[in-house]
Order: sequence, then structure tokens, then C-alpha cells
Amino acid sequence: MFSFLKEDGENAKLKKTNEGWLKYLQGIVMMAHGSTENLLCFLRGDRVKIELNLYATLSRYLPDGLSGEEKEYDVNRGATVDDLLQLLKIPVGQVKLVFLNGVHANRDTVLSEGCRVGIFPPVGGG
Amino acid sequence: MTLADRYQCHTGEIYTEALKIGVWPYRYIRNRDGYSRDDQLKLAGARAAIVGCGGLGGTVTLLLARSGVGFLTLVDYDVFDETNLNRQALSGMQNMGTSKSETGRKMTLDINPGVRVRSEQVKIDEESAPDVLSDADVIVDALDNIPDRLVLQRVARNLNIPLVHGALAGFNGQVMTILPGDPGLELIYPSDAGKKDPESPEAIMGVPAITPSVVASLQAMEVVKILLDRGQLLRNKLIYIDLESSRFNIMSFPETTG
Repeated sequence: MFSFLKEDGENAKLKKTNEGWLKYLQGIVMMAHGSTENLLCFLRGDRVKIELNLYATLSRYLPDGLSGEEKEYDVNRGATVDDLLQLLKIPVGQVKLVFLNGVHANRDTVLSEGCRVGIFPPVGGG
Repeated sequence: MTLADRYQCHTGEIYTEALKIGVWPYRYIRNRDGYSRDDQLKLAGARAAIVGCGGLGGTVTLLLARSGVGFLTLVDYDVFDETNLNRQALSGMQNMGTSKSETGRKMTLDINPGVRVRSEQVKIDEESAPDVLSDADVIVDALDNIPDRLVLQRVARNLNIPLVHGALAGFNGQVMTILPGDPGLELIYPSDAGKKDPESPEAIMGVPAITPSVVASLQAMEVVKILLDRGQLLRNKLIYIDLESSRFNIMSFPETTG
């Protein structure tokens, strides 16, 4: 299981915390965001690649290693918009505008392989 | 002595009569053939209300005045201060402390005396809106905060008038046209947004000059398209621009098409 974890960029961070197995398991469950199905997906390495675009103030939630140009990001197959927001730790209250391939998405819309995800904060200045 | 003086009428009427008989006022000659004579004539008789005369509204006002929109209502109860100088097209050293909407009226007349322009130093709410906005063919949302925008959308719906929304933060901006009956800002904004939210994107990223002028130009184009019934509106669609990363998105709301 360790070697598998080492391959995953997100888990490398967890490993550094070095707080024992319980923390690991909690971490894995969190990464798999809750459901057993997601957890199995994660352990199997059953992932889909998405293009992640975070705009304006949300760019601070870009995962480590991603930038404006490097947008490719892995999520579990079957993960929803809501799962993605949780994974990125974006406060849900800050976001109303999520678009998949240019079409407004609901929170429970499932992310598909290769889809272009845009997440926008509500800008109101003038 | 101008024709308007000689015949004791408004310059706008001279322009309209001239266009009717196929004579282009010289000031509009370079509008050909972006606008047909019929288009220019339609604009001369059209009425737009611009709510907010700051970063967005100032540029919208100047563009519509130059385009030849015949009737403009400029709404803003605020006065210019030094922090406006970085972006607001109507602001200048000469008009610090003066009314934004009244300054807009004077600048409009300086650019185009063919425009009949009214300035209103009032805050738009359910009570004030009918008097100020009910004669408009289109209303421009050029405000600077979410709660006031939601109020404006409500009154525009009540008055059955199209609304052209524009907003920005940093080098990001958005435009959407909302016709009466369309879902609109409720798709974009949380209903509990605060007025002076220190965590809002615009509070964090600021409002530099370039973004409002781009957003305002897109808004002015939406106004012209509505007034002339031409082209494709950004209706049930949001254009979101990120100038720094050169990302331009037009996104659709499938919930609006049913």
C-alpha cells in the first residue's frame, strides 16, 4: 500500500504528516470522499483526468504542482462536482458557477474523462 | 447659429429628421455601414438607462453617446473621489467631489448634443425605480456590489425591461443579458451576498482600469444589439473573461432553455 501511496502526488503530502495508520486511513477515506465505492475506485487506481480551471480568487485552491498552464488533474471515476469542490477545499458558499465543457453544471454532475471544468467565484465589482 | 438654434428644436431632432430623408449627420458618417441608416435612426429614437456611472457606467455612457443612442438616463447618487481616477472614464481632476451622473450628463452633451440626457442622483429601489427607469428600452447594470445588482434585476423584471449585466474583479469580468422572465443573477450570485464583503473577489483583487473598459464595451454592444434587434445576445449565456490568462469563456445555462 505504501508504494501505491508514494506514486500519488496528493498522498505524498499525507505521508509527511507521519501520524500513523489511522491518519493514513482517514486520509484515504477523505481522498475517496466518503463512499465505499469511491474508496475502492481510489485503491484500484480507477481515475479520470479532467482539465481544471480555477478563476480569480479561486486560483489559490489550485492543487500543488498545477498552474494556469498545467491543468490536468485526476479524480476518482464517478466523482461529482461536489466531490471535486471538497477535494480542493473550496468553500461551497463561495461558488455558484461551475461549468463542464462550457455548460452550467449541478453539484451532483459526474465528472467525465477529459472534461473541461471551470469554477468561478461571484465577481461583483464595477 | 446651428440648425437646432434656428428652428428652436433639439439637435437630436435635427439628426432624426436628417436620417429620415437619407442625410447622414457628419458625426455618424464613420458609423456606416456598421449601422445602416435605419439602424442609426432606430438608435436616435432609443432609450437606455445606465445605473451606476463609475468604472463600467462611465464607459458605457460614452460609447452609447458616441454611437448615437438618442435618450440616456444616467443614475448615480455618488460623487467622484480620488480612488475613482484609476478607472472611471468620467472622472478627472476637475470633477472631484461632483456628482457622477451629472458629470456624465455634461460629458455626454459635450460629445454629442444630439443626445437627450437626464441625470438622476438617486439610489434605485422599488420605490424610486418606476419614475427613473420605466421609460427605458434597456437598463445597464453598471453597479459595484451584489445586493444592489439583485435589487436592480428585481425592478427591471417588474418593469419588463431587458437588463445588461456586467461585473468584474481584478482582470476577470463577466457579462450577461437578462430579458424579462429569464433567470439571471440568481444563477450567478448567492442570495445572501453582503455589500462590503472583505472576502469578495473584487475586494481582494481590486478593480484596475483595463477590465471595466472591456466589460463595459461588451455591455454597450449588448445594448446596441437589443436596441437594433440584431446579432446574437449573450442571453442565457455568460461571457467570462480572464484578461491576464487570455481565457475567454462563453458558458450556457441549460436550465434556462426549458
